Amino acid sequence: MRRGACRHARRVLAGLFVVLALPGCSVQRLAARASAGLVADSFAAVNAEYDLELAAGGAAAGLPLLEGVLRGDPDAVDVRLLAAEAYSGYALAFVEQDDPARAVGLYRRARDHALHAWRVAARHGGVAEPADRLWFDLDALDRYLAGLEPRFVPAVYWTAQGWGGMVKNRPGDPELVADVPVLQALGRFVLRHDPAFGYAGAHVLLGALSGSMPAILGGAPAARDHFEAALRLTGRRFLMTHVLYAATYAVQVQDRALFESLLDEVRGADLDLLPERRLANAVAQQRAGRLARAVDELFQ
Amino acid sequence: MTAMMAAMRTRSCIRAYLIRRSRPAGGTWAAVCNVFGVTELPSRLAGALVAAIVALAPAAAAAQQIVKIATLAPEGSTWMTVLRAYQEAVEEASGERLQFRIFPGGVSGSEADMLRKVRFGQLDAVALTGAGLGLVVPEERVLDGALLFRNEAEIDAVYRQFTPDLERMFEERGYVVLGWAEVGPIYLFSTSPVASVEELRRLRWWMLEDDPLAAAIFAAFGADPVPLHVADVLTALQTGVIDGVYSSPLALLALQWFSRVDYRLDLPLGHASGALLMNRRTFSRLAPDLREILVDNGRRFMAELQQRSRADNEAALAALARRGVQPVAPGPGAADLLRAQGAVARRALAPELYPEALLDRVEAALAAHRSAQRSATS
Repeated sequence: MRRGACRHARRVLAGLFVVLALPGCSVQRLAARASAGLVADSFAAVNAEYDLELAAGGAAAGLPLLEGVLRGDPDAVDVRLLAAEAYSGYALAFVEQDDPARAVGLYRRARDHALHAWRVAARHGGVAEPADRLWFDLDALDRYLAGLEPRFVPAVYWTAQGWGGMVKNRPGDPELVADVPVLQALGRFVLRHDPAFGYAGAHVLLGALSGSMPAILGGAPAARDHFEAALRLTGRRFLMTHVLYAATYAVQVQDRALFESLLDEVRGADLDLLPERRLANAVAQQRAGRLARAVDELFQ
Repeated sequence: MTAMMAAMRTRSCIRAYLIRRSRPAGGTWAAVCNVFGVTELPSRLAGALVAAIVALAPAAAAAQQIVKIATLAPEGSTWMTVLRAYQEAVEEASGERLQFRIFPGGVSGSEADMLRKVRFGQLDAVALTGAGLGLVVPEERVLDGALLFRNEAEIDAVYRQFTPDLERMFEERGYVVLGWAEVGPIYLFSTSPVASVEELRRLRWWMLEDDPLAAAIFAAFGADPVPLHVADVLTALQTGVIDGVYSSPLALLALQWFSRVDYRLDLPLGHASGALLMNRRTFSRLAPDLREILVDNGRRFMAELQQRSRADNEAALAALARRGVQPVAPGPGAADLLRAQGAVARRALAPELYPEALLDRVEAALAAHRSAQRSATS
């Protein structure tokens, strides 16, 4: 494991060197393309890491590298999406529990990277770019999304994830409260075309949004259906689903038995359940521990 | 709808609303009596039982006291942020002898459910809107009067003058008021513009079931509202069953109704009140210094909440405008006409909700405040 981490560190450093050492536009872009693969590999390694401290260091070092690559090649769609995923993942795993205000900034960067990717892909594909007015006009947004091709799922998904992270960490902000229906529209687009994408993350997003709503307003049944669908689609192997199911729906309907059984399942899981996502599952176990300790504060 | 039918609806809403009124908060003992269908014990027997229970209870001093608080406000909302700050201040000042356990987002049920849980001893305190406060002290709803206030200074002046009396009434009915903070201005939002009473009357408005204040104001306007559960309103707007709703700007955003309305009559229909109540019996069992910590910080943080809540509603209006919900100024003479009908609606709720004399005093105080303001500016 340690040798693997060293090898990745060397590759990351090599990537950094390439980016820094070669000025000039076309050469720079070439170099950027070359290093993008290295950086992507290093993030894959971070995602598979089970040691949280090591992963935090690796991710923190990788983010400026991604920004460096994007300076050389601002319209690299794949790198933009990788950056969106990386910022969202970093905020989720290492920041939002202790510093929600900082997490909002990181999630905003994630969303903006994904939006950039979405715009570039639209431009290159001869499709209308998502205009800013769509975020203020839900009917126009629905019409736009109805005509959007399935290949936009990753860009739409990561836009929604980043945006959802902003809402989650600053829930009282009226401007972000007003964005919730936008997130739901984006989530529904992903569900229409690829519900399993991102470990069924669109189901989880929609479940968490409904599950945070008081039961008397009718949010609860929809939330349960989304979470159950996500558990089914992932074979119960992506543990953050369980944690959010417990933290939102189970608390909202005050179902202590469900809350405890979901968290027990997470805490008893082997991290090799999903080797490529050991980090996310390790973070989920950490959260599950915290939540389980708070059970008496959450239930009457 | 004839005026008589509208008046009947208002009456039936008042009756339905008052039926849900809570009995005095009596804690577990009252709950036990209620469960067994015993509403009143012979007083001497009751006295002896209470004395026996008190004698058996462990000494409360020095031990940790947990105050369980419920609210409809979701985690992360301004209400909850301020309640968390209050919690921190109280726990620190008491050296953690006093601790809060807060249940946000309506996990404890509706406001009526929360009050029931306070009576049964499952909760100690509740942050309520006027609708819930009125279940304990119906007189409190005079503060929610239709088109009563014209600006925040008027609200502050009337609250300063009348909340001490209302707090005594809450105390008599088993609750200590830890602080007041209004929920915010209530506006009419609709799918077509409303600038006059005629336009208002032509639309089908949503009305919360058993909401006597809404029944009275729509009756005064001569409108025929549709009573619906909150969870059904969005669909009713989508399908055209209703053309408009009343709501605070923040609630309109949170409930997503804003996506189905385009206009806001730029004249608040009223200002929804709110307060934090605690079971008087639990409160009086606390050590004196803990009571002081609770009350002093309660006043301070609820005053802060009042300010932040006003700022939030302003920000919500701006967010709404950016999403195409446009303010519509009342047409010539319309504001005066609407205010006159507000006065009729306020009168229609006396004497069932509050005595006419209380309404007279509130209106007189407002008139005095306005004339003082006028002479100060002239």
